[in-house]
Amino acid sequence: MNMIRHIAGFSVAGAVYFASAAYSFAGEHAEAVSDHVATVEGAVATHAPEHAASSGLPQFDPTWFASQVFWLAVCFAFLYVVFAKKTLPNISSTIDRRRQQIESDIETTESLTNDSEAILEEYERNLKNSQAKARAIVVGMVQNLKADADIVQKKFRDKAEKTIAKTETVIEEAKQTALQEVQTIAADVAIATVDKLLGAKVDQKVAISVVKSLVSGKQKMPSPVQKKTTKKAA
Amino acid sequence: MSNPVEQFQIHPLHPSLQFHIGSVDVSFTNSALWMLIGVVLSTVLLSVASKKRALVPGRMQMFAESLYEFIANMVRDNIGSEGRRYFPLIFTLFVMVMLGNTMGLIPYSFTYTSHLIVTLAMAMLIFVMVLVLGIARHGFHFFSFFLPPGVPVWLIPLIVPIEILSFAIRPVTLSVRLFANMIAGHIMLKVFAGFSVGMVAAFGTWGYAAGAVPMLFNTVLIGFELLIAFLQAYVFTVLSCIYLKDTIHIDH
Repeated sequence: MNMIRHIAGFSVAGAVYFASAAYSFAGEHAEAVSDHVATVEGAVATHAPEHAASSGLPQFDPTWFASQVFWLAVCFAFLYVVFAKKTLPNISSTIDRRRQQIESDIETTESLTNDSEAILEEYERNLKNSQAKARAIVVGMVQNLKADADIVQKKFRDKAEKTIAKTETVIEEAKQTALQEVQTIAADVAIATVDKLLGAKVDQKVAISVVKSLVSGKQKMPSPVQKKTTKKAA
Repeated sequence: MSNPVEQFQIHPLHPSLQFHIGSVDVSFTNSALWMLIGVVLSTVLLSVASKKRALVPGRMQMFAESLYEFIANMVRDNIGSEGRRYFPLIFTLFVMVMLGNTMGLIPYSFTYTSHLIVTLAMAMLIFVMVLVLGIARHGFHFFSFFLPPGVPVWLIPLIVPIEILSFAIRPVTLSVRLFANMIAGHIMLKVFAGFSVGMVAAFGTWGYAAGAVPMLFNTVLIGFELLIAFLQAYVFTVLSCIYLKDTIHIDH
């Protein structure tokens, strides 16, 4: 504000200086062409005869003060009314309308951006969910298959083991049967031998028990022949 | 035509346009004619420019809106948001002064802002408004305007007359600044133009070549005068804003 006052003050001083300088300069010039001045003064005199004598600036001639102020007031008042009632509200409403339009456009853009961001987010969430689901399905399948395989394997193993056990018992039974048959045969042979050699009858049961005891003590015997002899001796 | 002050001469345009209100002569003069031309020009221009109200402004509308924003910013910066009620006044003032200053640069036109009575009338309008509205709003408190706070008691007899004087002289400085700038510029232009004419009169054919020099100078001066025309309209309205600010809040 101070600056404006300074500039204003300066411009006044400058303007007044220029005015006075130019005016005095102009005055000298006017003297040089005095015939022109004469015609000018003549013209001035015809326009304002009562002030022809005072050849000062027309600005200080009060003849037209009232007229100037009057027409200025008329023009100023007319302009003021036109501007205040019509032009300025028009311009201001146009500017406001544009501002509102721009603001609503910006709002629309923002809401659209938000919408698209929400959609993108949802899409990503769905993608993540479906990926997790797929992984769960795969894992579940693998587990199921594994469990199924385990069951099948177990069944097979049980079956095999049962078969093995059965076979083993069969073998064992066969072994036992064979052994008993061997013992019976041996007892029979012994009975027959004793009968032939000694003419004595040996009870089959005794013979079998003897054979059995011989078989059980077999491990201690150096040889079956020796055993036989020992038994014979006995 | 070589008297440089003849351009400021006022005369009624036609005997049929000589009006009187009572005994007061309010004839339609060349000064009034240029005021009227300014009114018609600005009204038509701004009405046409603001009529279309397009969302994307054309050249004319852009110009009108720039002018609007320019004055609106000036009022807001200098008075504040409450200054909106003075906006049409400041706008009219600016248009009136600006048109007076610039139309005056058209050859053979009349510069009504080069007349002290015109600028004084506008300055007095502002001054009286400040006084009346200021007292109406602030009552007796308005006169504290002449006594800045924090002044030592012994300085009061000195400060108060100075403040009153600086307040009372406002319309004078406001009007003389504009008037003096306009009259100085126009006299200068006329003097240089007179040189050109004088050289032709003095040297004949060679005078046309010599006369080109002051004419060239005048071309530059016209540019300066356009700047001054705008600057003085701006200064006039800014100062009016600053003065009108006192009707809303008293600074000190």
